[in-house]
Amino acid sequence: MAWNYLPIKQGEGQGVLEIIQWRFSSPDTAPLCEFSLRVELGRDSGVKASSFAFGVVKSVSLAFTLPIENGKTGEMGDSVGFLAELVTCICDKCAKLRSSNEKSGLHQFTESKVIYFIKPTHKWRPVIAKLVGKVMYLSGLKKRLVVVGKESYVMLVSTIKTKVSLCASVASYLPTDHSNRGAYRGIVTGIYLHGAVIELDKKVWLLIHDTLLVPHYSLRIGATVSVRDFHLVHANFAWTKVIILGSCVMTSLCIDAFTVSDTKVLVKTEEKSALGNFVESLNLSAKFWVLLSVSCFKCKFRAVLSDKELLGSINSAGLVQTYISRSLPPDVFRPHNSMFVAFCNHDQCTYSSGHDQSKCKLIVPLSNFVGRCEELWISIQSEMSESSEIHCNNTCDGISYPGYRRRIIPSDDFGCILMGNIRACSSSGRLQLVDATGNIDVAIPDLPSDLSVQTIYEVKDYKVVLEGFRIERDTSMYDFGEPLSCCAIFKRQTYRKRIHGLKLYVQFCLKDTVCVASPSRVPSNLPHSENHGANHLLVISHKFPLTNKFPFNPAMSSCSSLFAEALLFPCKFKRSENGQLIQLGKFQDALDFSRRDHKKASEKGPWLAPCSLASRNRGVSATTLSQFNVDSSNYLVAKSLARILLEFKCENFLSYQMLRIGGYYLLNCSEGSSPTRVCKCWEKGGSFIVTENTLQSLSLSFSDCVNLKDPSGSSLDELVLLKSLSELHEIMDLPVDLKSVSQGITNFLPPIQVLSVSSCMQHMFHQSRNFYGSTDLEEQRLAQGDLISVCGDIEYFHDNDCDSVSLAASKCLKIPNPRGNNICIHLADDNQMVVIGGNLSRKLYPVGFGVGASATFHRLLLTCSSNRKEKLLLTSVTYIEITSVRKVETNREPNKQMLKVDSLIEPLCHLPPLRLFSDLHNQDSKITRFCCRILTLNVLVLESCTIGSFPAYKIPLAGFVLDDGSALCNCWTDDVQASTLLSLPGICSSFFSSDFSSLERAPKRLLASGLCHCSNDYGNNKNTVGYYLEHMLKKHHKVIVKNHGVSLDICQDLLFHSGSGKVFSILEERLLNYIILSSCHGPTFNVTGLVMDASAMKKFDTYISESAVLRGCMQNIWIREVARVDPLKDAFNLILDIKNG
Amino acid sequence: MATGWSCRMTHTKLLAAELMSVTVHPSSPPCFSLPRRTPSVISRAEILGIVVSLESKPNFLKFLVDDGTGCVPCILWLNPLVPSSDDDPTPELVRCQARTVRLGEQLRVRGRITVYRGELQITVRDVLVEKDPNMETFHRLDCVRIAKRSYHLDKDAFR
Repeated sequence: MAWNYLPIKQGEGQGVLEIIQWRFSSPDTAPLCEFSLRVELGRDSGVKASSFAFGVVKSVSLAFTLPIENGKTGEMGDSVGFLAELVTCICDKCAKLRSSNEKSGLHQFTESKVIYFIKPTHKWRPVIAKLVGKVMYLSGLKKRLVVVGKESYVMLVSTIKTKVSLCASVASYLPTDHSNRGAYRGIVTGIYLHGAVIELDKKVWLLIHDTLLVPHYSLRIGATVSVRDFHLVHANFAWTKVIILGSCVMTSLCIDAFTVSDTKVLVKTEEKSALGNFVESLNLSAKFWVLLSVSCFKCKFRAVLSDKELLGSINSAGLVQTYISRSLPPDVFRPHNSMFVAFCNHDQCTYSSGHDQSKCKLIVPLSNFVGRCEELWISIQSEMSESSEIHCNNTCDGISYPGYRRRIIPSDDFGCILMGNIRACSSSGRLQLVDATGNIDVAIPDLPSDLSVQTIYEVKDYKVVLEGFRIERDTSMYDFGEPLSCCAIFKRQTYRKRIHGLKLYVQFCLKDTVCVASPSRVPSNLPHSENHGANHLLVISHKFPLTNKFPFNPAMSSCSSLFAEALLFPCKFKRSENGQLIQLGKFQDALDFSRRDHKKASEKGPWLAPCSLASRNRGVSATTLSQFNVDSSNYLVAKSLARILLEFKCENFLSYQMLRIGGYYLLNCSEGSSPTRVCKCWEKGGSFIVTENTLQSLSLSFSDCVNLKDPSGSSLDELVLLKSLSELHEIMDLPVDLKSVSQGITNFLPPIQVLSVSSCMQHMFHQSRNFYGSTDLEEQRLAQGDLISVCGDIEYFHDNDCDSVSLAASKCLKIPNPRGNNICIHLADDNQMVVIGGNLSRKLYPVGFGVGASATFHRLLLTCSSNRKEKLLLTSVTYIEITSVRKVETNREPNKQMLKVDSLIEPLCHLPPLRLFSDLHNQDSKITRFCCRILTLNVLVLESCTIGSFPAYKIPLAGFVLDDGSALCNCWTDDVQASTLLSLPGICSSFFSSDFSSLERAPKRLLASGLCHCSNDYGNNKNTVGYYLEHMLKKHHKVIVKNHGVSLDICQDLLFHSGSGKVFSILEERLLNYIILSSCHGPTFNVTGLVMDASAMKKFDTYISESAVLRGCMQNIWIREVARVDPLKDAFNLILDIKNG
Repeated sequence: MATGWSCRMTHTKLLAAELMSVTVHPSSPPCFSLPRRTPSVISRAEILGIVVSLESKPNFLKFLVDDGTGCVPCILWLNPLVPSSDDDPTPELVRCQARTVRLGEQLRVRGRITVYRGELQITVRDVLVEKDPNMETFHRLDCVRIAKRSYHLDKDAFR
């Protein structure tokens, strides 16, 4: 015998002896047909014990304690013992045998018998366990009827006279075992959860049946073990496949080789908890998943929840058990039997009967999840590199930038459940899902105002977005080590983010989440909780982004605040005790006061406007009468509103995230419910520090039918990150229907105008003529210009350190983050593209910011550079709102937006080289670019637009004859391109200011003709072509001008057609003549277009005059893009062109 | 290849030296051809240069455009070629253009090539003030490109 001394880890000087080798003392050379070993298990005390058993030891149970009652005497007591299963021989010869000397020859072992080794023979369990598989003769047994519960078993029970004899020479023929018991030999590579889970050979998992019954001191990392009679389960979980060896009461575990690498043992002292019993009641795959989940929970929430709260105690269930019992289907539970019954009924047990394991998802620690996402990102990069894709790099200003990718991956592909608290990051302000291991950025389209940072949310249905620039480095250098493997989970291996270029975030709707654990206290920001305070109604006009004031000092980042600008309505509301919302004072009175107008309110008296109010949180619907005294001729205007600043400390960043520009909110008034109108809140320029309970969201609807469509139908190609305000009606705290007073309220609405890119272009053209803004940013202290809001799709963005304007702007504007990068953003819609420059720190990019994102840029600075180029600049107050993102592949086809680069902002530098009209017959490329001027016009169609839109006209079709100095060409186009060729935006502001004597009189004559009653978007200057064009189109709706002249020198044969059938006045004809003549004397343009064939030309037949047909067989081109020539850059391109031949 | 009509109506971008070296064919109206070019016949031209001389008369404005390779006489008629109605803005537009022609101004001039008293000149269709000095370089290069591509000139001629 040899042994090791193993000190106990927790013990002081204590330890256990590990017997590493022992054998029976009888010599191995015993004669054949003789028992080589004979052991008396007890002393002969005259007890009658005549039964015997002869067979092969098949399995041995663990030693266990059983409360026992003597059937004869009725005495109660505890019995310690173990069970052994023998497959005995049933041949006649054996049945007659009574003497061990005659047990030789051939036997057939077929009948299974269970022998109960009861105290004091239970101590021989190690001996019997060592004899598994060997032929044994047991004598001195008693046959007993054991009744357990309602079932009874006839079995042989050991007595003190029991003798065990071993016969090594007896040949045995065991029938083939059709049960799913198996044998496995391997090296222990991991022991987790106090020995409940053992990893063998880094590939299979041994589940220990009941670790509290027998501590396997020898089961340490490095030991070689043999496992017999286990249940083999191939578990296909949602995220991985696992081979499980499930031990049971019959499983025998033998240490084949002891380890010396780990010489300390862990002694378990805890008692069996409710969770332990719960785990034992599960089938094997579910048990393994639960043990993994326990590990995950402990890993994720160890910082916020105690072990007792997580795991429960002996009598009470903890968070883990509550969650798991809710998640598991009922078929994973199996009846809990005692060891005795389980052993006897082993073959009928359902240890491994499988349920649908694919529903078992990993409650993943967030750091592991981030690791998995990075692993996925690298594999995506590798796949694309290997598939020899054409890397379509983006080009800006002649410089090539790497391609950008975005992948949207559904939660089913991960097989994981996300769980954690939702909070706003104090350094970046972004929404995050957080656990103890890490965090991940999230986008929640339906973010409510009553989100609690203490609530733990379970997110099953989500989409992961991976995006970033193409990695140029060798991707094989990254080794993530399978972050979602069971080993990593049990080891509680945490990962840190390694790929800095990867932007990773998760999108999910809060309505699809489940609250796993709530804070004990009820959130106090529910509307009904403030029964006595007064509320102000306000609308958010702007949100200021986070500016890291102390970028070099991380400790100071916690001192930062976020701000929002709001307009305060001159009225107060109060919630009455019965939950109704009552307006304090009269609307008109408040308005009068705000205007410092002490006149009495309209004598018409107040009229009652029904306001239906419903509180989402209580599900209470109440109706109240609010006195809105609105005189129809005296609408409230935005000027009456007080502008206030809301400040959010870092602990309330979540409230900031909840705010939406243009959204209505109720603000708790610190001055109680007094209806007095003199309130500090009302003082203009006031500021509030917003706490958790200050704001409630309010949804105002102006129609009977509220749009409740569900826009969450995001596909894998496009993902909504932010719902529109109208779609958020259902989650608002207070949906208020104000349809009866809609006209009054709509006059309240502040003008938060967001321009499309095309409208922005028009605006820029218009502004460029009214020269304004900074002429030279280098010399100016402060860049000047308008603040505008633009929405569109981000086509591309890149660092732009060479951009002098941006650098100068950042210098002049004193943008407070010196570590921010100069960035160049290409924003496009279906027609145009603008370039936004400025300074933006990578750390402050909003979630979703990237190529293919639909974004709204609030408060961009529109200014002019020294060369009179309009420029849109990001400033420190620019707030970027990302509404949706779409999938982006690197090798995507350039879409039409990419071709529609506006060269007024940036020259056409990545498009095809300049061609000549004279070469059109020879070239292959359909898309061509020319440098040309207008010679004359073929046709022009003008239509009026809807009221209020800018510009007030649209051009469905325009046909020109263009001259590039080598030949002529018929060119056709529409919309903005036509407008640019006609120089319409330009002459909007300059025409009547020129000294045309007769035209100067035109406004008076037009005024006299009664065409002057219209508001306009042409500034205050009504002497513009645009102004009169609007009036003309209002009269005619549609105007078609055709050129019937054959001569190209003069445009005197123009024919005008009116859509309304009305006659054109002389001035109207003069106006149209002037527009066309001006365009024929216009500058040189860079034109990109497609060569049209005869079939494409057929649709223009009705517009082509006979004279145009007579003018010969010129090529026809559809113009897709027009821009003024940039002589310097185009000259440079020409040099290259000429040089290359 | 451009048709004959298209060629005649095209304002060929030319340098002054090229323009002043065209061959005049005595016909009515006279034809002009460029040496060593195919097709060689042109009738209109576009030049760019600095106004170095200016003579203003009630009915016309005569000025010289110098592009560094030579000077081209230009005439801008202020009275309409054909009678126009009172509300035709063409005469006002022409007068407006005439006001932009000042000494030292960089102009882009398009028009017909004509002969007056044996001298070549351009009868101006339109003038455009070019503020950007880079436009002169661009125009020169454009002339070279057109000459090289469109007219298949011997490449050595431009080296």
